[in-house]
Formats: sequence, C-alpha cells, structure tokens
Amino acid sequence: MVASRTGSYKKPLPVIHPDNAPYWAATKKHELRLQRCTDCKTLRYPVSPVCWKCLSEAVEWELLSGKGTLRSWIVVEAATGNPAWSEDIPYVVALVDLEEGPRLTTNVVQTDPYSLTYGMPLEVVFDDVTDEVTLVKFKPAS
Amino acid sequence: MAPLDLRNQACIVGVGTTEFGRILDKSPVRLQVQAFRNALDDCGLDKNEVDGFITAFGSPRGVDFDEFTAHAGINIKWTNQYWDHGRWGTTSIIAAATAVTSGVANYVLIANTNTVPRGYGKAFSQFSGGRWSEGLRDAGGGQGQLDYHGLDTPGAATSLVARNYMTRYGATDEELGSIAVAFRKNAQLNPNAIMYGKPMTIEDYMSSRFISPPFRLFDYCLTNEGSVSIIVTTVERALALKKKPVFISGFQGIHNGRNDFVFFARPGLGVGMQEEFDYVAPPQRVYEMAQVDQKDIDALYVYDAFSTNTWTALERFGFCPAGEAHNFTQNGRIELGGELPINSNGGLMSEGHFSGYNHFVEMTRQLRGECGERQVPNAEALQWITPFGDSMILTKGQ
Repeated sequence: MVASRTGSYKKPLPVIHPDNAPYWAATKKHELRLQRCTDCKTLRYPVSPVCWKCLSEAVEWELLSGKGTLRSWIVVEAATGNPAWSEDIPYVVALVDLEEGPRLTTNVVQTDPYSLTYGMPLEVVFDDVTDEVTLVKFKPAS
Repeated sequence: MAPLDLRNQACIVGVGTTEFGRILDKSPVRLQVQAFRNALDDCGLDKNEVDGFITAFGSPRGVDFDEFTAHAGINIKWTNQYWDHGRWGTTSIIAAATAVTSGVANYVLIANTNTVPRGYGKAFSQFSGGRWSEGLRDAGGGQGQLDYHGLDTPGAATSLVARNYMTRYGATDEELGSIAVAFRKNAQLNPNAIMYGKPMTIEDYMSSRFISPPFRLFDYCLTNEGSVSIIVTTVERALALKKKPVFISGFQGIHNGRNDFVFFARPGLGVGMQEEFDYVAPPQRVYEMAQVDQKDIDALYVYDAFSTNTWTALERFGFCPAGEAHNFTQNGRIELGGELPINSNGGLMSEGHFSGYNHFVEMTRQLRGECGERQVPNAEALQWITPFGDSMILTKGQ
C-alpha cells in the first residue's frame, strides 16, 4: 500500500511501549510477527509479556505467513467515535483468522467493502500511517 | 466451612433518582446528592446513619468517594469504588450485601451518576479528546474495540457480536428491531423515561439509519445525564424502616476470561479472542442461591446497552437454548403484559443509560407494587441478567 507519510494522520495510533515494541518494530519492517511461547509453544494474540496458557515469559517473535481468512466483519457507515474516521466511511473492520491460528481485529482494504464473503482468503498489507507506526491490514488474496 | 448462606439476609430499603434527561447541565455532585436525598426520603433514614458507600468513577463521569463524603457530609467506615460504564450493578449490590451482613457497615449507599461530554461534561477537561483508558490496552476495549483500526465505539464493536450471532443463527433485522420496539413500548408507561411520550413502531425502527449494520441507530442505548441511589441494609434493620424491604435473594458475579473478554458476546460466538462453539447454558448459581428457577421469574431486567445484549443474556441464562433468543423475543412476549416482560422501565434503550442501576430501582419499585400502569401483576421474583454472566434475583421474601 502507498505510504501516507504526510505527518497529518489524525486517527488514533497504538500506544507503543516496551512490552509490544517488537511487534511494532516488525510491522515497520513489513513483517507480521507474533509471540510464540518457547516453553509451551502457544502462539499468542494479543501481544502480551506473558503466555496466557502457562504464564511463561520466554518468547520468540515468530514470522508469520501473512495469510488468513475472513472470519467476520462489519462495514462502518457512520463515524460515531473519533470524527477522523469520517473520511474513510464506509470502511471494513474485520476479524481475520491467521493461517497460524490467532484471530486479529483489523481492516480489510483495497476492495469494495460490500463485496466481502465469509471465509474469503486474505493477505496482509502494511499501512505506513506515520513515520513511526505501520498498521497491519488485509486485502483479498491475489 | 460451608459458604455463608446470604439468601434474604440483606435488603434494598431505599431507592432514589434524579430526573433523567439527555442533557441536564447539572454537576455530578449536585445530581448525586439529589438522588441521595430522594433515597433517604424513600426509606425514612437519616443521612448520618449511612456508613458505607459504593460508587463508580471514570467515564461517564461519576462521583468518587472522597468527593461525595465531603459534599454530602457523611462519615463512612467502608467504601468500594468501581470503574463506571455499567458492568458493576450486581457487583455493587453484592458488595453492599456482604458489607452489611458482615457488619463492616450498617447502611450502604450505592451511587451512580452519568454525565455526558455535550452536557455537564463540557466543564471537565477529561472529555476534551482524551482517550478512553481501556482503548490503551494491548487487548483493546472491553467490547472488543481497537481504536486504531476504527473500531472505536462500544456500538461498532458490539455490531460485530450482532453480525456473528445473526449469521450463525439466521436472525433477521426485523427480529432485532423487536427488542428496541418492546422496550420503547414499556417506556410509554414510565413518566421518568427519557423516551416517554415518544412511541416507536417496527417501521420507525426499520427506517432509522444504519450506524454499522446490522446495528441501526435504535439498536443503541441512550446517552444521558442523571443519578441513581440505592440503600442496602440487613433484614433486621430493614424491617424497622418505612417501606416493606425488597430481599436480595440470589446473586452471582461477573464472569470473565478469554471466552468472555468481549463482554457483550456470550461465550461461543467467536468474537475477538473468543472460541466459536455450540454454547449450552450451565447451571447458574443465582438460581440455586435464590431457590427459584427461570420459570419462577415474573419479569426480567437486562443490561441493554445494545439490542443484542438481550439475546446473548437470555441464552447465557438458559431462558432459551443458544440460537433461539431471536425467536423468543417476538410477538410481544417481552413486552409488559407478555409472557416474560423484560425491562419494564424501558431499559437503557428507552428509560436511560444509568449503568443498569436504574433497573435495580425499577425492580425494587415493582416488588413494592409502586409502578402504576406498568406494574407487573403479582411480581414476586425479579431477575437481573447480563451477557457477561452476573445476575441478581430480588424477591418480596416470605
């Protein structure tokens, strides 16, 4: 996706702090990485300093395929929260099941919001919304 | 040691509210003290007897315990302060019941105030663009929000719950509309309801604008200003007060975990980090404690921040099997006069969003027989339920 490094991005940004910094450092390099517990091998999401299954802090940031399927979605037709979203109306917020298991809350872009179907294959797209932040979104698989 | 049996050991003795309105332009303290005065009048208690205080603070802005005790001139020896925005009604009353039965306090006031950004909230800088604290969590907001992906309101997030539910079970838009229409109809018999005098038909509902389909405008509760007070004490003290006490007969707490993180989705709907599976309601402690079951409940009260909460709560508590609530809520069954009236006050959708504390006021008044035209005949046992698993049964006692 074309980067929008305009410095005028008005929408909310993730709060980056030491626990989640490796995730956002990876997305900035256009890599989708999630934590795999090196003790019990659980791949986890959301990003967390601990494994929800075994409470271990031992972790590897595993590079994922970026492939997934569309679990469910909504088309937001009115921006009732932050007005900065108005320019994107209508836009898709989706639950995407990654090939490796975890389910992300994200956006499906680069397609007609009203053309989506359950289970459709998707692939990751990296949206460089600011110089510091790259968001993980999805588009229909090519 | 067996658990203490707190069935019918504590009572709601006084309830009071302010007027309810979209914008009242009265400060939280002013509103909360007005509701407190009304609750004291309701039970004939002197304010100096109140020695326990439970409140919720945050956004929508309420009154914290330091502030309230100073302004109301009361001296407390026990307090508990929750996050506002509505998950805490049951928890507050459980805490009050355990406080008075353990003797840590004698009379506990439960307070809840709502102010909105375009109302008195204008005076508080925290409303001027501040980000909601739950939205800062790596796991997102409690309804599943993730604001940097544009899922930045409870309503948009809950529309994902609605979409999963409706797709999985084949529910229709008209069926969804039956909930808002039923609660609006109930509110026409409640002069303190914000939507009193504003009836709504299913045609009105169907022609209202979409916010994020399947949710239309009227699938959302109201945002508004006002305050609620509830006073709890032991059964012995209750019997010495002005009105017949309402008995706290059964309760159970908030359930949470990865399958409950998105708290308006009952387990099994596959929203957020939840697994998707065929949900079967397990036995619920609230019935065992109160020694009643679903068929003994004369009217039901649901945390109806959004329409689908009624479906997810009904199924969570086994009023109907998973996937059947969208049929259950049809044909007037949940309206006053129906087989199982729900939210006789009009609910958060049509009386007002007072975080569910207004439902407990209504339950108390119903059990006392004070509800006039909207009185549920022979109301003996009423139940509060939520999609997130907490519940309370109030009764007239023996």
